[in-house]
Amino acid sequence: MKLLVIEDDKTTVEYIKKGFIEQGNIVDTAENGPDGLFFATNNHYDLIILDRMLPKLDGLAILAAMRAANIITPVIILSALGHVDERIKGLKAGGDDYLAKPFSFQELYIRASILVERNTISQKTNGPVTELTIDNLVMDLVGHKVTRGGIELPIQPKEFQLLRYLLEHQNKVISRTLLFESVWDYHFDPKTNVIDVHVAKLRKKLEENNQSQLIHTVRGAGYVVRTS
Amino acid sequence: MWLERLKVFTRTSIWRFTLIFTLIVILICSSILALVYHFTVGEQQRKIAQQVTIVTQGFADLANSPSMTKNDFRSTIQQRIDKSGTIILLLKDNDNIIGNLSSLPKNVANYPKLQHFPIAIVNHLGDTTVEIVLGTNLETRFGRLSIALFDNNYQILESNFRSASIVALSFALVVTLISGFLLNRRVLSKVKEISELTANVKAGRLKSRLPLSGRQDEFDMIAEQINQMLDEIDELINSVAQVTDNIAHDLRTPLSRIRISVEDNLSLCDEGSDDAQWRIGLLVEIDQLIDTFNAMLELSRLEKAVQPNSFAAVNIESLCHDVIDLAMPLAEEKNQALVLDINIDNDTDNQTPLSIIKGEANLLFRAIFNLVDNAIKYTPTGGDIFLTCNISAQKTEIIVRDNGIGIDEEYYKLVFQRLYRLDASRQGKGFGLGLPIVKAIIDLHGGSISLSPSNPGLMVKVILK
Repeated sequence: MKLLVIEDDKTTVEYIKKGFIEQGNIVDTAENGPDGLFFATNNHYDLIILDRMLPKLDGLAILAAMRAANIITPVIILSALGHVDERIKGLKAGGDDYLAKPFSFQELYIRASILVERNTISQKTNGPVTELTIDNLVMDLVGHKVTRGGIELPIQPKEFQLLRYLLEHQNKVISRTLLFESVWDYHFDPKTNVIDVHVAKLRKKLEENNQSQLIHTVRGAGYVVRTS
Repeated sequence: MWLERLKVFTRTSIWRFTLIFTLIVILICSSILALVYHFTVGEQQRKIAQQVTIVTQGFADLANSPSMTKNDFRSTIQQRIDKSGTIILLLKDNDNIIGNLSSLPKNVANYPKLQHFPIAIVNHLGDTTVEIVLGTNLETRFGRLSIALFDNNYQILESNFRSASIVALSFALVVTLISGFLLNRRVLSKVKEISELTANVKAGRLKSRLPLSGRQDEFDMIAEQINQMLDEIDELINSVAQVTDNIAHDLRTPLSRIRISVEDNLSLCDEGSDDAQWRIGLLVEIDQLIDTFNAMLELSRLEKAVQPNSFAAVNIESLCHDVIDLAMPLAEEKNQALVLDINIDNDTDNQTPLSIIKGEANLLFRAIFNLVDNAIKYTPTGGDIFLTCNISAQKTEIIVRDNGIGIDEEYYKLVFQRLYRLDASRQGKGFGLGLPIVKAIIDLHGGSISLSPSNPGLMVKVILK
């Protein structure tokens, strides 16, 4: 995919750029507001990563200008202002996601790929998904049932949501914060091992009866669902 | 209630001033009345006394003149009675009485002393009335002569004067007391404004100011000075908060750069190598630092914040369910019972359900989760934690109760202070900003939070309006 990073801090730009290029993406960068707006309006990007505070032109002003010019490219706002109010302001201005600095690249990467994926899926709709599978695990989204090797698992509602989110993003590392935000729909970092405990419980249920490991922990990053 | 208010009212200096002022007014009025009395009623009085004296002196001279005989004297008396209707004369010589009075009044002073005394008069219809006269007794060589003049006017004047004085004095009393009351009320309301303001400021609403009446009076002067003082305090507090904010903010950027470069090279190291271990350890430390700075920034934002625009309808009932959902595995891990109890007062016919309050869901969730998480952390394995939510039309009460180790009562206030931690060594997890953030969130929602012992354990009570 092709990205535009509008950010004035050189270290952050390099960090983001390097990470995305390593994953095989094309990255353009702009160091100030007017340049960023110019790039965004004259090229097509799959995703724009936008700093909230920029020299010359404020991040939210660029976003508003872009949306006014009918550019619907998904935008992730980066900001040192982590407050809830700021987050809501950013999302109201037309941002698709909001990430407080400092962040880890994995977090940004997974959020970026989920946004891009969502955007392409919504462009070519295949009808609603009713079933998710991996290995010998079947998740029935209509009947709210999870079976592994034909045996139904006693999964609780929140665990169901957790598993669904992980299965929908198979082979992608999902951070704890992202899991929490997606499943509980509250936005803050719980700062405890609470998500780990939830995932551990779910994992134990999935691995009952000597079944193989599906949920893997990625050190310092989060979780990934894949066949081992 | 009103008695209490009256007590407050009468304790004020203005009220004492009013009382003294009233006393002075009454004194001045009384002396003016005394003067008026002296020149009106008193004058009248003196005139009559003068007349009596002149008449008496005339008779005394007459009786003393050597050419006067007893018969002449008597006829003179008779002539005077016939001529004047207002004079009363009586001459008693042994048992021989002449004059227009039937008997000599007893105990009447001798000339030149004058005295008021009553006499009974029978008019032509036969009715008897009592009249007051002013008179005296005069010893002559022809017998004892009583001389008196009617003094009805004096009596009426005096009683009129008395009632007029009473009316005037009570009027003055009422007017001064009422005006004192009104003045007092005005001053009291101004004082009340000031005391309300100081209470507001004490409660942390530093933006409140005194209203100015625009009359440029002494109250305006005080109000202006207090407002200026508050402006300065506000500015100082803001600048202190700004400095801490700036420090945290400025340190965060280099910290994130350090984090980026440590993490960046991590992928190049072999997993499990010494280098990787060292880097991971460093990352954990840096993350903790960043978290502390974030929490400090967050806390000062929350403390400074006025109700943000993002306040919306929040269902506190489902929010509590979500907290339990999230925290349950933590409690299960420690074999603890985590019980949710929701009581909704259904006694009202409100359109909107009572469990809907105005607030910021993320913040409220975070606050309640933090309290439950703390309870789980500080309650030993096998303990019980209760999350109770009492919802009524007046208030929403959220209680987190555990039977864990609790906190000594002397620390109840301290735990809400920034960076305060109960373990003096600061070895435990966390950075002592959890409860201050919870308090800031509850304050932002206009609520209150309090701790109390739960024997054993701790009870945290949050009240939201």
